[in-house]
Amino acid sequence: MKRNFSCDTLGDSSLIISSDKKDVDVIRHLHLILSEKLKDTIIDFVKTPNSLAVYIDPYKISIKQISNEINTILINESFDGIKKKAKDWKIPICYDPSYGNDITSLSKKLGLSIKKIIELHLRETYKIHMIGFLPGFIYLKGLNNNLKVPRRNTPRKEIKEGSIAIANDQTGIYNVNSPGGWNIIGRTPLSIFNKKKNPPIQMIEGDNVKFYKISKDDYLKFKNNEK
Amino acid sequence: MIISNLKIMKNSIEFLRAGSLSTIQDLRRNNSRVYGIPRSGPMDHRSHMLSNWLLGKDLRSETIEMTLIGPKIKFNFNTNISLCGANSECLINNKKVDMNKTLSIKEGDILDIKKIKKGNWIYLSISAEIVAEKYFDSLSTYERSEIGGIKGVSIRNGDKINLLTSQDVDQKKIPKDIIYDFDEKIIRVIKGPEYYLFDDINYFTNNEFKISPTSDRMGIRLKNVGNNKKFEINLESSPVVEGTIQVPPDGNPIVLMRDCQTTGGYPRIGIISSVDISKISQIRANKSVKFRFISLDESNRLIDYNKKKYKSRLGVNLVS
Repeated sequence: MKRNFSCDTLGDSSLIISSDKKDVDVIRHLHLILSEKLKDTIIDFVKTPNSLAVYIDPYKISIKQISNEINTILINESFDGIKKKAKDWKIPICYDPSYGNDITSLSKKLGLSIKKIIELHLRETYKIHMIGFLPGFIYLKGLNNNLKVPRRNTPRKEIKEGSIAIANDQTGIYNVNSPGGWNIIGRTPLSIFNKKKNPPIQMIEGDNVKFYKISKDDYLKFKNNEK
Repeated sequence: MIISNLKIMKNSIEFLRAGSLSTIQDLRRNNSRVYGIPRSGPMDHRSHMLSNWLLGKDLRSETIEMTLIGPKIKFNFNTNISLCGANSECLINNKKVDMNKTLSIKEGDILDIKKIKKGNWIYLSISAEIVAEKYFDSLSTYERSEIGGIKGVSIRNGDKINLLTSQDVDQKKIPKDIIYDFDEKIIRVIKGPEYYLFDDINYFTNNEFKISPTSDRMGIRLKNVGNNKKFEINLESSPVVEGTIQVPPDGNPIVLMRDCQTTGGYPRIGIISSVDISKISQIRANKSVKFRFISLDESNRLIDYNKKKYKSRLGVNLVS
């Protein structure tokens, strides 16, 4: 199936290729082919659910040249059968309020018991929508409608690595200590983002994520084993 | 193995004073933004490259970036160094030395970089490769995620840094017409994707904006000095690049710099031309900048002009 893309420049050293529809699989595929075919000229990428940003060194190649090269590749590229490659990930999560700092207040705000919040959060299979903004932050789509809640009014200065949070229609994983405004409901002992490795993260956009509940004891055991 | 280790450990420098914010930076980090990791690198690319040029090094090689009050460094080996960028009083063994030229260092010498007088960022290149943490092929320090440099953070008092064998170099000087004076305040900008959503572009081109002291390696915060205008433009998270000018609802623009995030939700009114990003990095807090919109073609011509100028004057190919 042919896809329609538009190319817009972002200054003199980057451009954004947008897809007519939001489709993480298409963007993932686009990234794959361009990083392979233009690896000597493109120095980096950023993926969003409907676009791919391409970065170049303007002293080596102009944005117009790279845009022409990309167009030539896109004209000949078929996007058939790209959906099959998505992986399924199972992520342990501990909902203990000592990790899920906001779960008690959310219970009041949403009018749901903590047990119900956990049940609804565990029930869904999520799709990785975007990775980025901050190192390794994972945006997951597919949050249950009954869990929709706005961001906190005042963002926290520091959210611990592994924290799993919800905001609007998404759930997200903070993979490095960072500031943030999402409502924290639990934490995973899994080090999803390993800055000692390249690539530092194995999951990619389009992959599926399902959570499974663990106790605080399991969480601590897991952390100890990791050391 | 042990012998080669000894050889490596032989050359070192010691920070008797770390300075306000001294970090190792280079222009080698690529393909990290796709994971949300910023590229980092020197705030002022051109001064970084000039200091490397003086020592005949690859222009992308690591330098030590310093600001406000510089460090005091003891060398335990013979080598050559160079200092480029913000004007500062630099001393070797209490004797004043010039910036923008090759300097020789003898074992035991102490380099003291005093308070910076003009500009923000000064670069020290050393004619020996620094041994530090490599991440995505780069030594650039990104403190927020503790990546690169020395344990991922800025240099601390008493830190010792190891270096490989010192290379012999020719004595060079930066030609006068290549040295920047940091007095310009006009910043050339290419229209951004949300340019057309702003009902009052004159607000950005007629006003001067003051550099806020809260600016850092992630972003330069600007403040309108006249009547502030508010803009309510909502947007989904979209990719950004160094030099992007974002406008939050309060109307005070933020210029994204080397340690910036990879996506942003504020409207992108413009992107600073590649040739002027280094320039804005050197404008001091509380001084003003003025934006001038140019076309992409004009920006490309400026890049081309710089490319040819450096090729003919210094014999090098610029990089970004």
